[in-house]
Amino acid sequence: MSGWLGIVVGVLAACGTRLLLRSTPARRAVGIVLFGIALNLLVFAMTGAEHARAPLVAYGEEAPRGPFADPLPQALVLTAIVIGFALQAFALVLITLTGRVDGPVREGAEP
Amino acid sequence: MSLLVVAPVLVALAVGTLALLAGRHLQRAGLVAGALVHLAACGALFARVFGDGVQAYHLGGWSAPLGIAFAADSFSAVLVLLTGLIGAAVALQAAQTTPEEGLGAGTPALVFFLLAGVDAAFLTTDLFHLYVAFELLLLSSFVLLVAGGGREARVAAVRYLVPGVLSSMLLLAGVGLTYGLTGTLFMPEAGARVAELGSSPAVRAVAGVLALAFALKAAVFPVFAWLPASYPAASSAMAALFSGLLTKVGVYALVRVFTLVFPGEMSWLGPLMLAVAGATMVVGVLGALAQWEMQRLLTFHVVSQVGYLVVGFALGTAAALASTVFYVFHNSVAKACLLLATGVVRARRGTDRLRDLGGIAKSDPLLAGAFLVAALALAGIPPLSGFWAKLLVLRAAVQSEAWVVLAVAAGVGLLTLLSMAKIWTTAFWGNDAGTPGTETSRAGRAIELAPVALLALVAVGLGLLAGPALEVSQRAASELLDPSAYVEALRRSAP
Repeated sequence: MSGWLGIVVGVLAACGTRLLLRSTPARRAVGIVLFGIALNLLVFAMTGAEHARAPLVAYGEEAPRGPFADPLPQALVLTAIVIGFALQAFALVLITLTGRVDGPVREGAEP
Repeated sequence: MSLLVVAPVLVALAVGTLALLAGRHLQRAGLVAGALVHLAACGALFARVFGDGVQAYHLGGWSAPLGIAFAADSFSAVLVLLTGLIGAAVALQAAQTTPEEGLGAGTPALVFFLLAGVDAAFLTTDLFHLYVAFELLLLSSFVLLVAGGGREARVAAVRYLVPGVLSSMLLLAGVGLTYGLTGTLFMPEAGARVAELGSSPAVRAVAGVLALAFALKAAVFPVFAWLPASYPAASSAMAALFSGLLTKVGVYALVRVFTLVFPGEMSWLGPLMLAVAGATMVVGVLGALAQWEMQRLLTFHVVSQVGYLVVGFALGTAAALASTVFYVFHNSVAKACLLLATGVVRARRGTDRLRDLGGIAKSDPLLAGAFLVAALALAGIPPLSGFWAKLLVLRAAVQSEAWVVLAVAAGVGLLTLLSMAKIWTTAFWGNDAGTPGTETSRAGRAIELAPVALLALVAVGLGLLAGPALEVSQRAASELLDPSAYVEALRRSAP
């Protein structure tokens, strides 16, 4: 499972990097999104994706019965997704406002 | 257990929230008053740390590996004091600008959210919280940059966007990988686990990802191009805020993480960073020399100066780290002072293009005097702060026998003087190029100069009180190299 996640992270990060290197803002924005997803998955993979059980403590017991998934990376990813979404939304609005969604952004180039 | 450790962050967040609620007429006064309260909180923390040693606070009564702890050692305290100072000076100038020049409805709130992010980054001991603080200051700085003006500012923000977001995502990846490696995000504990693991390819990779993320933030060669492409478009007050604080957060994070969590990795990162520092100094100053607008020239210069900060980090000795601490404070004050002076020039002459300026020394002797002090401080002329700062860097390089960097740092110092002379001789000497000046009352002109004069005085004072300031820097360096006091204060304050 971790191996598959690794491959997915790699492919997404590669696509994201390729798009980030393009000169048009819209492609870069998509690149940011893909790269963000890749890195969120990477942090998620730190959970150890084999243990897919929630760490719930059964009634009358002291500790959850293992093996269970570590909830902390999932909380981190959740926070990162929320922050990333805000940043991506801001980026898209900004790119739209510059009025050059499809062409390179250059010094003094009025639309 | 000291609430003072969290006070700067709390004050900044509270004032920022109040500024969102307050009406427009309260914003100017609120901006200045809030910044002064924030400065007082930062000053109180600084005084406490120097009286009683390292201070720590566990948020919400949860002890650190479970909860998040803040801690202030000497390095953090110096930087938090710097944040308060720059914040106050910038607020004083921003309060005088009109909405067209960048004081939009949200500006005061965003300035304080940015300050809260910077303070939190300097004080937190939790890697993920460091990431959240970076995001807070990044998003605030995006909006403040756009608020600086029209299309040019928006284009600049798009250029700032990709490297900014990329560095945050790399930081997140580094944080996640560190957790995978050590099972904790609490920096002292992560450091202990990394020490147990020894140096393995996995540790090197994680350290490399974090170093790259912080290097992007600090704008070092070869990942600096976003800074001179975006800062010139911001209003001068915001450029002063960004130049004074944002790159320094990157340098701080490098120093903190690589002294506390990955000290073993400096064996390969140190030489690499030394080369990076040399290239940063040279490229930044050459770029600055080629510019013909004050703000553009000065922002290029920010890059060059970050090189000096990284020299101290890369050498890693006590003397070198002390030079970094001293240099950060000196450099932020001098650079913010120059950019705020540029703001006054822009307000009075309507431009900062060197070809269109001239004779400011005759028409505005006070402004010219403050600019000269800060420019000479930056160039490293005794007895101003920059002389001591550069001397410390050069001395650290001699002690570590880093001759190439020594030569580069000395040469770049001369070029710095040359670039300051370029501004001085064209804009401040020479004939008045006849640009229309705006008429303001005598009192208005004095208030306009207040933030510039404040920072110029700090630059002079830091030069005259170099002895005590050096003691503070050396204490900060010894605490960084031996974090036992830091760890002990955190353990002792745990509920």
